[in-house]
Amino acid sequence: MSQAAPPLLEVEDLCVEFRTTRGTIRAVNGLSYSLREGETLALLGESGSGKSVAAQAVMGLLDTPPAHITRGTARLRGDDLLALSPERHRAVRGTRLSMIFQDALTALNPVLSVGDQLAEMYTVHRGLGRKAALARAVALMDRVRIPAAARRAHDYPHQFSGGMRQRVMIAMALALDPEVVIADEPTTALDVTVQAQIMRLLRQLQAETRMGLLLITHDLGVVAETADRVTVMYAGRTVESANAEDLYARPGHPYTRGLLDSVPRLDRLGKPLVPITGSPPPPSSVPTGCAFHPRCPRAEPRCGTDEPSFRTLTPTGHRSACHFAEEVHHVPVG
Amino acid sequence: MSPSAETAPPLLRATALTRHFPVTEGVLLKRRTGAVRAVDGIDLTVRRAETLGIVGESGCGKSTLASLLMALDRPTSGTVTIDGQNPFALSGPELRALRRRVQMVLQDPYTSLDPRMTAGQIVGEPFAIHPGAVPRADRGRRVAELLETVGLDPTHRDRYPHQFSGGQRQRLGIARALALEPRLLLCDEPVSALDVSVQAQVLNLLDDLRRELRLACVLISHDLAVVQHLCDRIAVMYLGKIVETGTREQICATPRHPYTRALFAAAPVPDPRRRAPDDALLLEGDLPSPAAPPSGCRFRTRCPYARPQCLTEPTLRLRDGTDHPTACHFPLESTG
Repeated sequence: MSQAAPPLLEVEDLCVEFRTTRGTIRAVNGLSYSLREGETLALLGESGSGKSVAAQAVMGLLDTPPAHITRGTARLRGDDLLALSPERHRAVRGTRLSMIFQDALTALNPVLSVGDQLAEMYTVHRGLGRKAALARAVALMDRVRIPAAARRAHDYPHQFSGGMRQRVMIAMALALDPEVVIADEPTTALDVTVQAQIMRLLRQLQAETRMGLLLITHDLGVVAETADRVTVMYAGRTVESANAEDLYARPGHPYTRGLLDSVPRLDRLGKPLVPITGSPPPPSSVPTGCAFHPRCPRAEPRCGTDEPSFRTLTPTGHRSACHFAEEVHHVPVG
Repeated sequence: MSPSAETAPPLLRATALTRHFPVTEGVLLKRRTGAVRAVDGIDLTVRRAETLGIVGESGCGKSTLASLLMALDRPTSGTVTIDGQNPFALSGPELRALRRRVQMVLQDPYTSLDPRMTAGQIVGEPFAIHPGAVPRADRGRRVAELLETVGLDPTHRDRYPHQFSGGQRQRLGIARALALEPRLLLCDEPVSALDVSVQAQVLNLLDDLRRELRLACVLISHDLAVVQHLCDRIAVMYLGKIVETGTREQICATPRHPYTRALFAAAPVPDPRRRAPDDALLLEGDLPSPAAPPSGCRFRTRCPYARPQCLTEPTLRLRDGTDHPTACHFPLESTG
């Protein structure tokens, strides 16, 4: 990946709060990342880490109230998406920026045939006539390798298998040649053999279109297979970011290291698992200081009070938010 | 495994087990138009203190198999024996006594615990159903012991499920399953609802428990890595049948069925340096419908090695054995 390419999507210091009658919850707290053309960036985090809320904020899909974007910018080739009016944001959505959701069955319209749903993208956004739009829809289904596309265009979402439905979702996201596609757990609902097909398809389509792909997931395996760079989130904050190989070989944050030590791996038969103690905190009660300190084997008293800075460890841009980042990064995973 | 365990009769045995669900049409005059063959001729055994993993994708029938093995559902044909007894031939009280020996841990710790019962009540409930298990006076102490066994604080016994995290709730489910000192624990996707950082805690707990209590386990999962990590033997299921079974080492080092090998190839390894090349062979398509399984070998529609014989000739019924049997007409020889 060329380091010199200008960022396509650059998110800086994003903060999202939910204000409810029972108090304010800070779901995303100072998230920054940048995504370049043709690049896949993974946003890795567990439930409650704020990864999906962050994506919805960029997409303009959060309802205010209760959600409030209190700080930050999200620049798509320089245009700040967060400063757009809801109408302008809607115009960007689908055309320059689109999203693939986890559950295609609820994301697709059940009473419109798949061909009609895809064709609608072209009649509404490109002003094509019905016939021309339907032809484009079939071509698109072909492109995401749906067999017998012309015939299947008349089918409804429930008539497709889970894997084929996810292909329809991908077709929908790619219909208008967006610059950035955000995929939120695109394969979590799928079986492993179908997951492998879908991730390969996304990689192939990315190579064809040079789109930037933001992959939101909790799955360390999917990230390792697909991502060029990784940003790890914990309790609404960025704890580490690096290119994928560096992150897996020499993580610079005890949380990332803990995740890698705790997943059973097919290539390490019989290796004991070293779990992280405790559970991720709910966004309503994030610990002070470093949010990971109650679960951290390396924690010292100051971790409970001082929030670590997010600093650079290597010339390749490996960054970590841990007081002992250099020390943690020094030890390879083994 | 000790020699005595080898020779002892198996704790759990399934023979030619099938479960077909009728498919009907019409409202008033229901006509039977077919059957979903969820479990279609399965043989397996679980010996004492042994862990058997059953791995397969959604729709392969693994959860139907679980309810048959636990005698929660009647097979269409075939038999299940638990500790040498046929659960379906027993009277109510006899069946209840048998059930003490086999317990279950469910997938979703959010829906499998009664939200209006305290932790202590949940873990102690089995004693209400089996009053003979522990004398009334000792039950409080036993509940505290159980909570401690699964790594929960016994002073939290008056808390309700919503006051526990997902991992802690799954521990509660495990404590409840252990209350009657079963000999076999069947775990149906025990960690797939949990956060990544919490899964390892529960997997290690199950591993410790089965060793310390000499428990036999059946672990049902879609996750090959989880099954490989915990199990002595592994059975791979596809569309209602077991297609290959063997020891963990046999299945992992030399998978002989193309489906097993495809499962390994598709499972992502968390190491970017071991990324599969983009031209690696992948399975095409999805699982066919178990209501209309393909003729011959059921895997042939997705099998990269299928030959004419696979289309016409049904595969052999896999008898459970130690010689790494596979249901493939042309089993693969070495890992390629």
